[in-house]
Amino acid sequence: MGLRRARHVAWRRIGDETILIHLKTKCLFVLNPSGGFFWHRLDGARGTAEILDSTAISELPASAVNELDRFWKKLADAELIENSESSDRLANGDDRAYPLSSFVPPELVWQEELRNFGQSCANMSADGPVCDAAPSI
Amino acid sequence: MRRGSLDLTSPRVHRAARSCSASYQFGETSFIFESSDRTWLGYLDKRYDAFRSTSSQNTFVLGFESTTEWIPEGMTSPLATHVEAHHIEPRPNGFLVRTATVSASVDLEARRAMLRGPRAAYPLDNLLRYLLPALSEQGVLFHSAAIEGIIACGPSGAGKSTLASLAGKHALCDELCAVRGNAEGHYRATSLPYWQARPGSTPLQAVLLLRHATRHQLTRVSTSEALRRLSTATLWPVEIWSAMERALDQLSGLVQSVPVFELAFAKDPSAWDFIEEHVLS
Repeated sequence: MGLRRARHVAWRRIGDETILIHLKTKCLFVLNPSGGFFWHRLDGARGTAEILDSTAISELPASAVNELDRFWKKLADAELIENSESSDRLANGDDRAYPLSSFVPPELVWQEELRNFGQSCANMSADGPVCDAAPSI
Repeated sequence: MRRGSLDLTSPRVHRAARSCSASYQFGETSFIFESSDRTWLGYLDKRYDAFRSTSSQNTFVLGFESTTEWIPEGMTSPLATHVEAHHIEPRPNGFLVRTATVSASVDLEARRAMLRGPRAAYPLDNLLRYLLPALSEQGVLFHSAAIEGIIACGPSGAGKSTLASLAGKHALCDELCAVRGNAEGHYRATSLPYWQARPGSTPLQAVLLLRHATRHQLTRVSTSEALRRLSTATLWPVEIWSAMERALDQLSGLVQSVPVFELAFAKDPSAWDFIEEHVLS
């Protein structure tokens, strides 16, 4: 059984980090470069061992499988990935695009709830209560 | 009228013989507001007069029916703010919005919405919070001031209005703006009609993340940190998945094309000069 990215997740690579948005819960997550490397290798067919085997990392530490499994669990708990019986998305397995020369623990480094926007001055009319100095424009 | 006293399933609608309309331009979207309630349209005139438009491109038509002439308890005027808890329900072509006193159905495909609520400006003000991001097909909306060359983001109290005030005639708005990019990676910020605003747009040279301080200080922010911090200043079209993906694309492109700085600034007339010298020069 493989792992795949959940269908309700949008993601983009920004700098060396990968940004995920859970479209149902409206949460934004940030993965470190190693997390992004492994995220992009999810294809629905492979599990932890196969994914590690597919990398060009020359020396994997003994802890690599546990580290990656721990990472998958965090993502699964956040409903960002799910188990899959078959491949439904092509993995981006290009190590040049996501360079990781040595194993670094993949991490979910940031989480933030997205909002339309909260209470602010935005709805206040000019004759309403003042929340800050009004500009002279 | 007390909050929650309206029966939204059978609104008591005040109808006049003839419907009237008014056109406005908010960011990239032209709105036509239609109603038989001339008093309500008059409120919009007062609120959005500077944003009047004759454009008929990319138009979104919003109808309004007043369910009562009374405004909720605690409001000082029909133009005052009234914040309510909103329940949003996605629909195949749009979404429904319901509060204790207001209901709205939005059809993004037909580009129409029907709004029902008290005869006041706040039902539309609140609906626009959801409509503008959802309709922004080529841009992303920020809780931000727009001043010539920059947008200045931050939560309420961070200094958006203060900085806009210090920038004087250079300021376009101090609360909400739309940013859109082109294929060449050039971005432009457009003012939106909230709080203090005048219609206009400006080529974007930098994004500032504001905080108050005792002296001016500018710090460049990394691309990934910029995205994290700007994500909290973005008006996300939270109920429309495709629009969320578009907004993420726009935000990603913005932070990779336009420099983002944290600006600590003192409430001092020299703040705008500091920006002109260190950011816009």
